[in-house]
Amino acid sequence: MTDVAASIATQTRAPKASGSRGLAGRVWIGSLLVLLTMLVLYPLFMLLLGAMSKVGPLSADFSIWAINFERLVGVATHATAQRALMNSFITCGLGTLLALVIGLFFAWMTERTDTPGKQVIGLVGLFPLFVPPLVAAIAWSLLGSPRTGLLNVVIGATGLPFRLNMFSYEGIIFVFGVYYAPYVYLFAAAALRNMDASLEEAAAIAGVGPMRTLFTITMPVIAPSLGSAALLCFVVTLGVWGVPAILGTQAKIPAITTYIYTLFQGNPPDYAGAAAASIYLVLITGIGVLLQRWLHSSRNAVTVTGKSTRPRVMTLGRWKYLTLAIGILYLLIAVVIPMLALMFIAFRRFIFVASFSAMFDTSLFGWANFDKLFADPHTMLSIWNSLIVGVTTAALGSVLCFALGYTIVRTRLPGRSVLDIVATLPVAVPSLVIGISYLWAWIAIPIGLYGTLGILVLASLARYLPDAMKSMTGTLGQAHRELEEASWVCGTGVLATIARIILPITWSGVAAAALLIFVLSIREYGATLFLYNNRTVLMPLLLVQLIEVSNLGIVAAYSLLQVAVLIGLTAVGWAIARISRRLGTARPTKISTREGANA
Amino acid sequence: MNRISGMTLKTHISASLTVTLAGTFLATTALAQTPAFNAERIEAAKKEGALSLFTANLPDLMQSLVAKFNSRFPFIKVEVVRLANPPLIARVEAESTTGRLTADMMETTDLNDAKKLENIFEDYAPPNASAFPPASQISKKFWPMCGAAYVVMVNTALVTKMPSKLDDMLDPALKGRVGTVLPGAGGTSWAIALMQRVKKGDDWWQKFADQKPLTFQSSVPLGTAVASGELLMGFAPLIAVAPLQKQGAPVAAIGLDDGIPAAVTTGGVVKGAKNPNAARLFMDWATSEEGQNTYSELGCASVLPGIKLPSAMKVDKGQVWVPPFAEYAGRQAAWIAEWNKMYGVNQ
Repeated sequence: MTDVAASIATQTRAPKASGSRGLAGRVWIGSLLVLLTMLVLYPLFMLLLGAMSKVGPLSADFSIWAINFERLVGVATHATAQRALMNSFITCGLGTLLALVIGLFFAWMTERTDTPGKQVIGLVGLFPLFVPPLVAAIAWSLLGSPRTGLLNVVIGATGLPFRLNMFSYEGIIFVFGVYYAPYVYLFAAAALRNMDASLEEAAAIAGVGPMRTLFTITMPVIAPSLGSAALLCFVVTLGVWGVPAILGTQAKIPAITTYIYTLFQGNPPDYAGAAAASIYLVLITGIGVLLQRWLHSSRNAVTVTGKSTRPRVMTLGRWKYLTLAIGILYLLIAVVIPMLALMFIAFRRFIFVASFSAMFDTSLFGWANFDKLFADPHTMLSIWNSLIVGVTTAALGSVLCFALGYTIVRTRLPGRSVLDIVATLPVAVPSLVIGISYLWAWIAIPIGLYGTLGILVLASLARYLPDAMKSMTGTLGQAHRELEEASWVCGTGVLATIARIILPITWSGVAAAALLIFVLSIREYGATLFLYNNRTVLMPLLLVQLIEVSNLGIVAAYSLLQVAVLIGLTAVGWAIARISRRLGTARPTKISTREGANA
Repeated sequence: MNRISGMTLKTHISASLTVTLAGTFLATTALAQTPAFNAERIEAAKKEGALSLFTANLPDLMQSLVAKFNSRFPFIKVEVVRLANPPLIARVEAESTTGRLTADMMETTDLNDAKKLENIFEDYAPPNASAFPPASQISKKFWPMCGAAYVVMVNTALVTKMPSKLDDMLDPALKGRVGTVLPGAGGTSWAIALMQRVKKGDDWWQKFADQKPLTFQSSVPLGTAVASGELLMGFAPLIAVAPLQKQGAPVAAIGLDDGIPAAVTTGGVVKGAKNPNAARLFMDWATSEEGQNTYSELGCASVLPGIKLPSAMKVDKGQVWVPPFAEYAGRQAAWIAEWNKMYGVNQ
């Protein structure tokens, strides 16, 4: 390891190295590459083989050499698959458009207007991120069921002639739009915050009105960022199973993800068909991600320049109360009303609501659903397993991210760009597909990985690595080389320099990466949907299971439990990250003092 | 009408395979004495102390069943893994192939699936094996457990005119307000689809498809849809009605004059189980008169002679119809594919 470290140091300082140090550097890169190959490339390779196989990996007839294109062609020409893909394009495309409108409005309101309480609204506007899309879809199915949805009962009581129907294209688009708006908001707010305001100032001096400036100056400047956010939102929603599964199944609106799931869950399961459909999904997502990256890295997207003026805040006058009202309405729609619906159903003995007044019949409320839920040992097991998988994935992920990030950003070792590409490859692979590829990769190999928490950790790690890498490489890139070089000049080795200099100053990035992996691992189900068993069930997976076999009261009760646990665990994780960041930032002072004294 | 079905059905019924609702059935007396279970097995099971039970049966039923079993054998902690039948089969296949099957015993709702998975079960026979009608067995490895009879579940708060025959489900007023479980979801839902076609002819499926029924992967969400009033009625197993009624939901189970189709779930002990004695003891109990009476109380019809039919089963309304296995298994794949196409379902 010392040789490796020395080699990395050499390679960091000099582009070329020779002898044993060069060899050690190559070994280091090779080791990381082998790790990533097992984590990412091998499962994807097996997925591709699976798509070109006639039978599943469990079949005695399965051979990796029996390649054919039957299933790939079969899926591409299957009418349901084509319809599912078209439905996905429609719902995800229009959902993204809605998310764009909502996210942009919120960004504009919080960054460019004098709306009262905008900081709080901006913060609370991120709350939908704590409501997993699956839970959101369940809540809205309770609210907008065509005849007996709770909102329809209320609408009926007012005498209005219309009813909501969430089991429809509109319902799916609505949920995608509302719950993925925070993704757009984060991009758009950053772009608005960081853009050079001199053009807007010039427009103001020229007497152009604020709204015209907004649409003719501001929007075009941040358009590439918005386009990037929209593409990201589109590819993310394309890989979501829960929303179309809950809202589209009854209405017979298959999506590409529900189509894959149905193939997998069929009797007998069509593993090869699921793999083939997954390949197409990867291709489409990959194109989306490439476009998104191109937009994000294009010159047009550079809104951060040497700013001479702060963006002007628009005075809305009395209209500011309208923007405030719209902000509050969004929070009600995205968080408050769905949570109330879940609580209503979770605490009610049964779901039949004869009339508006019957909603308030307190004799029907109780803890029965929670009693049943906690009588099932899988409930507590799922929370415990989620904690284990979340913590393990976060710990391994942050170490791997740091090792990869450091190698990619701060060394000149040959092959580091390959590492970068492989590590970020899963961003173009929907979670559901990662799950299928892991199934193909590990189910038939008798090393005891399938059916363990270990495979859930690895699948989660592979899927969420690119997200964490983004945070890690960004932080590592910001750390100036001077500190590192000063350490080397003092004769400190690479590992000691990393431990004493780099790690403390980039600790916030490491903690953020760990927290991100932790939250995604315990919130999302896609990567693990095909890999768990009754002993390794996680919270979102148990929810999927309950949806299929339990009454809605229990589903609602568990949904609430999941949101509560998610918020609780995230808060704990955030507190730990914050404390460790403080400890981390406190250390360099002592180290630098000691290093200074040594020098 | 299919000739083979008719003939086999007659033979089948005359062999009094199961719940052919003769008056004598109803006159069965209650258990006179508690059956004796093998003491050695009980001791061995006690040492194991745990049981992993994979089932496609309904969660409420399983919870009550396990509670009753535990009142008799409190020293065995039963872990119930409940999945819809297709994913259950997929899970068991995957786990057994990779040597990670965590089930000690398994109950499937589909006889055909059980037959396909025969190799994962050990040879097992309950103490009262000879009491079961020979025709009720398709293997020496698994045994009849719960005869799930299909009825029409009706929301009584919204429906005043109760259906009495299959054709009543074709009432235009019900268009879009009826539901059914996918026949590919398990043996019981396949039985109702099979009966519809066998008894009412090849075009009945299409007529019902024209009613735009909502389709479900399991009877639990269908039950929720009926109980909530989203649907007015739907084909559902009797065992799905009782838990909703217990909660106070306005639902009733209606047996149709055309027949009450029933499919029997089967259970067996998994070969190489971690807790084989606990599994065998559970099977001993579940197949005993005591166990079968418990099933009956929970809404299952029993194939064991002398067991009362569920009290909610209005036997005077129709005849229980148990599909002959040859037809049940022989038609299954092709007809389900046809059904799926007709109903626009991608399975």
